[in-house]
Amino acid sequence: MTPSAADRLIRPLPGLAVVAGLGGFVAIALGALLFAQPGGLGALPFDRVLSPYMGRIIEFTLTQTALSVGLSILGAVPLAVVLARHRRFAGRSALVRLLALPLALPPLVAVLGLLEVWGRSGWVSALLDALGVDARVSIFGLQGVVLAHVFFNLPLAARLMLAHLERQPASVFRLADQLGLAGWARFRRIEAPLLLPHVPAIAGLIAMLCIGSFTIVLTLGGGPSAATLEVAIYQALRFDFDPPLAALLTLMQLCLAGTLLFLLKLAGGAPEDRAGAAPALQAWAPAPGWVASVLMALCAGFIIAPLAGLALSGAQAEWSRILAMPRFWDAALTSFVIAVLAGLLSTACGYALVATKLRGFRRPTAASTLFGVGYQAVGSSVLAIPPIVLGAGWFLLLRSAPEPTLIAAGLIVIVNALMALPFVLRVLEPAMGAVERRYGRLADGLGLSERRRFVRLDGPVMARSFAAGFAFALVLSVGDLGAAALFGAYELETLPILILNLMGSYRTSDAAGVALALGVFVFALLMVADRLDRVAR
Amino acid sequence: MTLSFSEFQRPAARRVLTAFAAGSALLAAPVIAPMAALADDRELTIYTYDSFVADWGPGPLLTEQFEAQCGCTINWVAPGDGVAVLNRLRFEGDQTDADLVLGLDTNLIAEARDTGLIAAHETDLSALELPLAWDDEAFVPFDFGYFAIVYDTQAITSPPTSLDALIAMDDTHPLVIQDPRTSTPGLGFLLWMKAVYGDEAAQKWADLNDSVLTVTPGWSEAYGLFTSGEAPMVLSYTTSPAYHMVVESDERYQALAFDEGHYMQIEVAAAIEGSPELDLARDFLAFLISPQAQSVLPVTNWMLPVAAGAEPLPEPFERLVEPSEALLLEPEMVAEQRATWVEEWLDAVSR
Repeated sequence: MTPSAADRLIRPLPGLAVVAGLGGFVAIALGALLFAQPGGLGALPFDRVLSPYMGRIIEFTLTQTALSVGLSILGAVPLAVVLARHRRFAGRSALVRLLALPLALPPLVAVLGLLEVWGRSGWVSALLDALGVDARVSIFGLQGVVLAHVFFNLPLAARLMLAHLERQPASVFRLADQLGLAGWARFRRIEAPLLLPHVPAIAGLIAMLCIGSFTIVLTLGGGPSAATLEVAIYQALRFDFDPPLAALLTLMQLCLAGTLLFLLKLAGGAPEDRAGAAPALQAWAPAPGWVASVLMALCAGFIIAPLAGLALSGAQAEWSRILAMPRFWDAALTSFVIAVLAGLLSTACGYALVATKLRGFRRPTAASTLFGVGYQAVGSSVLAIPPIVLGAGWFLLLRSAPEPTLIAAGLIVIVNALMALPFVLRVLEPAMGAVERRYGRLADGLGLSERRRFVRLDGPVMARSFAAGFAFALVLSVGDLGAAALFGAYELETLPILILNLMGSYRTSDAAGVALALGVFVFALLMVADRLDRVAR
Repeated sequence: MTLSFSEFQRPAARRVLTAFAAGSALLAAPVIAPMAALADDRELTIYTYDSFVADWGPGPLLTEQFEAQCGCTINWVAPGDGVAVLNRLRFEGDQTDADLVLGLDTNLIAEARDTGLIAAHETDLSALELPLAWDDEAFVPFDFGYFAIVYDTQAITSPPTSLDALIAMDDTHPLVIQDPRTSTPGLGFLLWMKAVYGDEAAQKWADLNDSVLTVTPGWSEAYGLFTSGEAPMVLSYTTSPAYHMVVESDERYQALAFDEGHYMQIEVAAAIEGSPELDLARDFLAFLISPQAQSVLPVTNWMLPVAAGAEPLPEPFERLVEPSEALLLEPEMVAEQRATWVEEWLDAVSR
């Protein structure tokens, strides 16, 4: 029995609906801003978009992005490989979870953590002093921007790569063991070919995050020549109050992002993943050798040291005062509810998109081409749209609607889900690709409906990937500032916003305490997500 | 054995919607409940910046004091910082829910007036003790401050005593300032330089650039760099040391008095034209400059009072820098020239 004609007809619908819905959500917001002032297209400030200053900004953006992406990937490879090879050393699971933490930190907090290590009076300077080396480290300038971006993105890349390696069937590694492949040979023959096809996609994701970076670039850049388009967008929307200009600049940023992604795609080619559906539980689990240990310690230290710095300064906060603040608990609850809803929405959208991409169309049609373009857009370039722009557009449209708090909450959830989608897709797509290759024909042959396919096949087999995707979305939403800050609904204060508000009122020590609480919170969320994964299996 | 699409889709959709509704209700509950309980009272909706209504800000105390005398409820709405308050007004136009806006500064007055939403205050301002005459008919000042370079006394022993000296410094004692494109103090410093140097400002910016460590997007980032020991000087307010001295009993951070005078920031409030509670809004404006409110503002908002308070200020306020001259450019001129001056700055410092 094959799927009925009706079933085949509806197969692409969920994915198409998600693309249409999210695309519409973005387009409507941009449209609202573009035409916020009378005069139509002719009145748009094109001349202000094409200035020499913009040229300098774009040049700087491309330089810092290229460096940040390259170094993040280079550092992530050894970390992911060592973590994939050695599954049983002490502290491994804690280390893997810590890798998700930087993404959840508001950039300002991360900067302060980096200063603890790399600042004038930081640990590295102290170490150099102790060793009698007379060299001053400066974190300001291009090197500081890149350092901060690598701190954020190396762990992200490592986690994504680790997920790819862990999804390989045990047989691959068993064969490698039988052949006695270890060390460099094992990397060259087994791991590198497995990782390489995924590098362009991961690089694209990191590039999007670096293009849109704002606080880090300005704070550590050392001056206004270190800026991104995002700064100009922010300025246009706030001080100049020029919504059409903000929308134009956003479109320009999207073009820049799209070009970069296109180039990466040309360089990469299509990933061909031979992964099986049965997750590898590698039998091969020796203690890491010394080269591996040193490599891993370096990468891990680079990530953990700033986090440790933050934890140390957070631990000195006056906890009795923080815990007695009703506002702290309100913010924690708000963060939690928004993150869970955004995580669910993002995972559901991600599943619909991936299912449609992989089995929605039997042969290329106009609809499938259109879907392909939409998939690419929500899969990456969406990150080049500043959440503040989406929020402003929707605010403009919904300003007189009743229940502004509810609407703001809804918009924040949607924006967060949207911004997490590229991450969720990168986890779900390869996993589902493996399921399809292994069981796709069988499921078709049995005539499984979409619903049964989810309940009987995708759900159980991909539980681990669903949990991983959900955890990613959760962490990103908890740490999000953009979406929530913009609506500025006082009633919707999240933990990152509370941290900024505390810092904005001289309460640096309380802010450090709340930042530590945020870190612990995210860590706990990740543990729960892992547990869910285990229960589901 | 095929099931239809709707059967597949509906339960999942419903679950998401239910979860969403439950979550949203959970979020909104604490906000809606107190409003419903007092629905028959008169209600005054005030838009302000977020730190004003923080637990530690002036909001809670002022609410208590004003509600005790007005028989009304204050509904605070805080869309962000002062600029965000103005933008919310611009977005909403005459459909705004605000009866009063509070927390714009002098540099935003002209643009706020252009919205056409600002009503005359009709309030007696004779109690004001500002260092300069105030004759605006719409905006009521409620506190003010002077921009100043705050420095770390443990890092610098002979600090500069003038803007000229600051500009002449090399990079041994780096300074952190804020970006005038994104931050209020950043714009304040730009105007300070303009007020002192006029047409020479661009050259002075280029000279100052040597000692500028970095230009942050907001005050918090800059002050964070300063207190974490990364830079011994930061652009802030003359009142910043008051916070450290009063709350933390710490004398380490002090402001520098500059011979050329200091640029002022005056924070203002105004009633909204066409508000159904215009009288109540005007009562609140009068309350803001009353001795009662003026005693609260300095120690919660860390700015200087515009009129005499009911109680004397804490002792450290007497030791703050008192500028030899208070500098302030006309709001209309600032609104007109801001873009040009920002361009000039950008050009001078990215050379």
